[in-house]
Amino acid sequence: MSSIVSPTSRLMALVILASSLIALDLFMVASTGLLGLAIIVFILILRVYVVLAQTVLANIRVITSYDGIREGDPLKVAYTMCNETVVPIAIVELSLAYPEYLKIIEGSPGALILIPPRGCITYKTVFLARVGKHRIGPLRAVLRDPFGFFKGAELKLGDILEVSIRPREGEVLRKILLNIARSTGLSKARRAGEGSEFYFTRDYRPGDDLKRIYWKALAKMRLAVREYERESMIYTLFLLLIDKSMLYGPYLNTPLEHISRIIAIVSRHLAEKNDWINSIILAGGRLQIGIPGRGRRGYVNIINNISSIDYMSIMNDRSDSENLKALLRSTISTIVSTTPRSPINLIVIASLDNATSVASELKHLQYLGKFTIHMFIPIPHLYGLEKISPFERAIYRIKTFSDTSRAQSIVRDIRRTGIRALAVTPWDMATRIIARIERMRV
Amino acid sequence: MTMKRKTKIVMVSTLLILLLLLIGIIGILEKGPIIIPVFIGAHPANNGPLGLSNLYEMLRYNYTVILVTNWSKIIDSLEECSNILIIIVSPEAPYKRDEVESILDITRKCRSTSIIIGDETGNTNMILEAMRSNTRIPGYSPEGQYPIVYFNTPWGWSGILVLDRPSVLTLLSLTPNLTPIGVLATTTSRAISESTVYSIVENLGNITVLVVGDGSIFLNQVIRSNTTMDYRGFIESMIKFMCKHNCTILLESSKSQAVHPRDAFRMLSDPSKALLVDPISLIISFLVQVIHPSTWLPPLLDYLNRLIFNLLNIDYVRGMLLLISILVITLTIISRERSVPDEPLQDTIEVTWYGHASFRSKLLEGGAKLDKTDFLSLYSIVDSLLKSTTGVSLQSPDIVKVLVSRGINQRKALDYYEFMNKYYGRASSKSRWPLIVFWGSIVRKAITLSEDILRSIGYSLMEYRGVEERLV
Amino acid sequence: MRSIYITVATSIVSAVLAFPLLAISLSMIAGYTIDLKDIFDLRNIYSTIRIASILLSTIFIILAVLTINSILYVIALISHVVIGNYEVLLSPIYLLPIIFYGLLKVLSEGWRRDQVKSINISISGLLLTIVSLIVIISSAIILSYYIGSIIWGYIIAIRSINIDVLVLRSLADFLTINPLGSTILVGLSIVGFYVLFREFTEILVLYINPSRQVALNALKSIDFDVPFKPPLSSLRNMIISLSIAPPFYYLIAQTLDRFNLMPESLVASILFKWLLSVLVLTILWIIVSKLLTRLDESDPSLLSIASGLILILLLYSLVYILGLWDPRAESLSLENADLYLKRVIFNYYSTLFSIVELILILLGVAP
Repeated sequence: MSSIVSPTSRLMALVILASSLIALDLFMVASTGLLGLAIIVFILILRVYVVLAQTVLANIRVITSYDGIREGDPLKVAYTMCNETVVPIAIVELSLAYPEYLKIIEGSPGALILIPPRGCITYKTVFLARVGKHRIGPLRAVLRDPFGFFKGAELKLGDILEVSIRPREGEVLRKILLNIARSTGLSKARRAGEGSEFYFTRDYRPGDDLKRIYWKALAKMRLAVREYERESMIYTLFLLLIDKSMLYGPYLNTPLEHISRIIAIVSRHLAEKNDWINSIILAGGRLQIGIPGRGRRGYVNIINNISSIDYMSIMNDRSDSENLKALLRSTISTIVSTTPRSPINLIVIASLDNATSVASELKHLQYLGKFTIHMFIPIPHLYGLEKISPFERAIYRIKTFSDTSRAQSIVRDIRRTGIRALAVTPWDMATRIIARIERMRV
Repeated sequence: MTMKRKTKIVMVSTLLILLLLLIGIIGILEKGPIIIPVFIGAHPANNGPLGLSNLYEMLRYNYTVILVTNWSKIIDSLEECSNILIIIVSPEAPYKRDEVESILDITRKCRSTSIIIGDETGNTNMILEAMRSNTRIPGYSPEGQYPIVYFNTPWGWSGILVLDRPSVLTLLSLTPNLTPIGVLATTTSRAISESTVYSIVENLGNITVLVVGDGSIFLNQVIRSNTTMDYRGFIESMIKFMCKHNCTILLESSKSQAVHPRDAFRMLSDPSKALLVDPISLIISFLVQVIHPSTWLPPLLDYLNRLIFNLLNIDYVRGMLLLISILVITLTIISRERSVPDEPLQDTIEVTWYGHASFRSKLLEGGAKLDKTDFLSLYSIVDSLLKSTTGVSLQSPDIVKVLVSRGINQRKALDYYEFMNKYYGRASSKSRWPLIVFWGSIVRKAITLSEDILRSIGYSLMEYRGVEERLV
Repeated sequence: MRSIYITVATSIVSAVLAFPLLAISLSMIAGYTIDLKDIFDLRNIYSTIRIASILLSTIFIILAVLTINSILYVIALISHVVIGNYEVLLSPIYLLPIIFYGLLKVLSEGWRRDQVKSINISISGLLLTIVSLIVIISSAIILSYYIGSIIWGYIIAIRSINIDVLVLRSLADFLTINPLGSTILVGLSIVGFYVLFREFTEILVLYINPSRQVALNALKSIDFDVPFKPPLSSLRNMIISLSIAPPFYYLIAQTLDRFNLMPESLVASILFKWLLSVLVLTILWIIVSKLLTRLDESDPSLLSIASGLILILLLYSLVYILGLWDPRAESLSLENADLYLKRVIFNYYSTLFSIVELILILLGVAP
């Protein structure tokens, strides 16, 4: 028996009613047989309507759209359903399929709607955007007739939206950055010198290279020379190894989101200094290798790479440490083959669980000489300190103390391999990372 | 996938077969029962003393026997008739012209025909006449009812048989083709005259006729009887002789009376007629009638109808019947539809992931259990913080002074020091005192006390940003 | 995340709709001057049943209102009908809950709390939908009456049929006049129309407006791994058991004969032969059916087929050996193997056939 449309248990009630009316007639109590039979025929006609409406609903034109690209901003998702036939579709129950880790801030996750004939209806909802790549949709729809006697099979309307959200560079971080840059006095101004990037034009001074003369300025009766920027030879590579624990924490404040924001602001800073920057992200058993770049291009590449982190593949990742090691090795060979001979600052963000494996693979890189490696290990359980009462916090701390001490011992072990490692808490992560990076650039 | 249902799709259900059977029964009902007529008299189907069933069985064993119920039709069904033997035993009605004609047609059609006639009534005289036989059966016996007849047959069988109310044979002329084979036993030297011949064999071209003036020797009661007289041998040898090598036997079956079982039953009660009826065939006949649906189905249905109408007059039974009726109609319709439970769509449940998720949710519900390992952790935290800030361990008595210098009350500091170390010893099994410890409340108390102490050195267990930076 | 307002509103409406029936039930209970003794008086069982039905009905109505379940309501309704209170079915006011509880339930379960913010539809669209729905439902009602009257006319015609044949008259009366018989007749007629109409319209709609998603859903909803019971499997099993019955019959007959387990006359009688052959056939048929149903569900392995065939061969060989050697005879039998087997098999089948012939003749099926 195919199930395009199935009756619900309510239909049995109506059938019992119809049967009673017919039975009354047969027992010669009242002439209600025709009414009973008419009810049964009505049921059949209603069924025809539902089948028809179901096929129309399945073929309906759905326009999906979304709006919002930055973390913390509202992410508006809209599905517009347009019915081009004269058949009204009633009643449809909608439910949007979206990842469980996203929150809706406006609207509802589903709705009960009517779709007018030759008309459109829009279902929209607003999420609070989180950094990374998220798949939203499709819209699940179940059709019922207006009296609830029949129910159609579940349909999927619209497309699956793939939304990439960029990290937010908040004011707080910017202030931290500026403070550190100013306090260390190491804010590197752009240097004039040999290079290919245009810097500024100035008047000709005797002794300037004739090749540098900007002839177009002569049109304005001015003899000018173009200054190029000295090419920055600093190369900073961010290596992020993300596992489940980096996703633990309150909304918008998990280690991953925290790190993303820090890296975003740091990348911008480095991009402004015209450094070469690049990112490699290992998440959910997949390798996301960024494209190295300078300036705006480099910054954009890093932002795009971070925006492509897929939470669900991280949470569902079942690969073991062997897999991780293999991926690491291929990562390292990529790093080695694609980076230039100039010194490279390798900033590694790893989790408590994979830090040791990562360190054991990376320590070989140190022998190449050009790599300066710094590892930062966030402590995920500290992100759970939010949103609980003070006394409970104390208990939480006591209970998770073993994890905290584990972090200590892991850092100690890694330091023994020669890699500079640091366990960072939510409160000092930004400061420490930025400070280190600034120091590395000298 | 959960366990699969072990349902089977049945293409032709048992219900369907039963319904077809029901239709079949209704069909038979309409057609009516078969009435197996009971034959009285000399008929192959009569199993009684006066029937020919034993003869029939005897013949069937060795030869092909066809029971003739209609002489006009029989000739068409005879495809191959090289050798035909017609046996006529005690016909109860005379032969009509067309029957005689058909018999003659057979004799003409077939290469050689033999006829055995065992008749004491004279009903076969028409046949004899038509075949131009010189024998006639007058229908009486002047020598008494049970004459002893001596048989001396051309095929070699000879013997004495007692005949039962036979008819003597009238010989129209004594031709060399006609051989008397059965004469009255007492007639030894007396000339053969009409009054003594009881059986002849006559050769009429391609027809051989054997007439015995008594049909009863072929009857069941005689063949079954266990007397010194060899009736059975006589008949067997006769048949063998008349049949020559191989023949098809046509056994006359159209001339005995068939009665309805009902009448046969009535006849049983009449002692004079009782012998004619075979009780076994009667019983079978009755059984067949009884089994047939037309006997029991209509009365049953009538009874059901009346029963239900009577029940309907009773009020509460009427309600029950009405209910049954409603259920029947509902179920027949609902069984054609497979209904589904109507559940609303489940919306996505939003979750926040946390490390130590189960513990955290238990904590928020207020169900966190604290034990001595937690106490040890707490001690460790406080100890390392004190060590790193002041340089003095919590285990050292100097800590009291240090704490006082940080602003803690002397008494309080001392109490704290003692408290923590006492339970530290207990938790690390260094001492067994105190014996019974409720660790939950002890740890909670320790937390409260430690908070004040830690705050004095600039840390906090309960603040969001409390101790970790120092610890790591 | 269901809306509390909608839930409350639907509950109120459901209570209002169910009120008339509740009022009747409560008034009937109140109207009864209940003498507690009467309830336990078995002679007045009718009154006990009445009271029980009304109480049951009241409970079900309350449950129906609380859960907005139309089945519970209809059970309450039927409880009234069964005790003779027919006006609950004749007046539409009592039937409203059956029709509208579905809508109320769908609303209360499906309406999400903040969905008004999520949905954007023009007022004209909404009005147009409602108006067109009203038009569709009204047309459906009119059409259903029209079609219903045609079918009802057919049913009345069947019920007023007159049959001449006397033996069939009581059956006809049972089906047409007797209420229970009419129920069966009318029920089956309705189901016939129902299924035809349903299949026809579904196919027509799908033909006019095909949809990939709907088709895929329908295909995926069918159980793939359901075994079929092949039609006429009983007949097939009978044929198989017929083909292997001769050796079994012969073996049993020979065992009885050679070891003198049963009196000679009994064994030789035709009735005993009939009984034995039918018994052997029936038992074999049951065994074969059981074995083969398992094979129908899963593919037979080579081993099982081979073992079955070998078993049958062994049986026939055993028969042959038995024929060769009879301990009571002086020497080995000189009979040719195939003739011997043929005789054995032929005997069995002719025995069976004689029974079948007799039964058929007795029943009047064959002339």
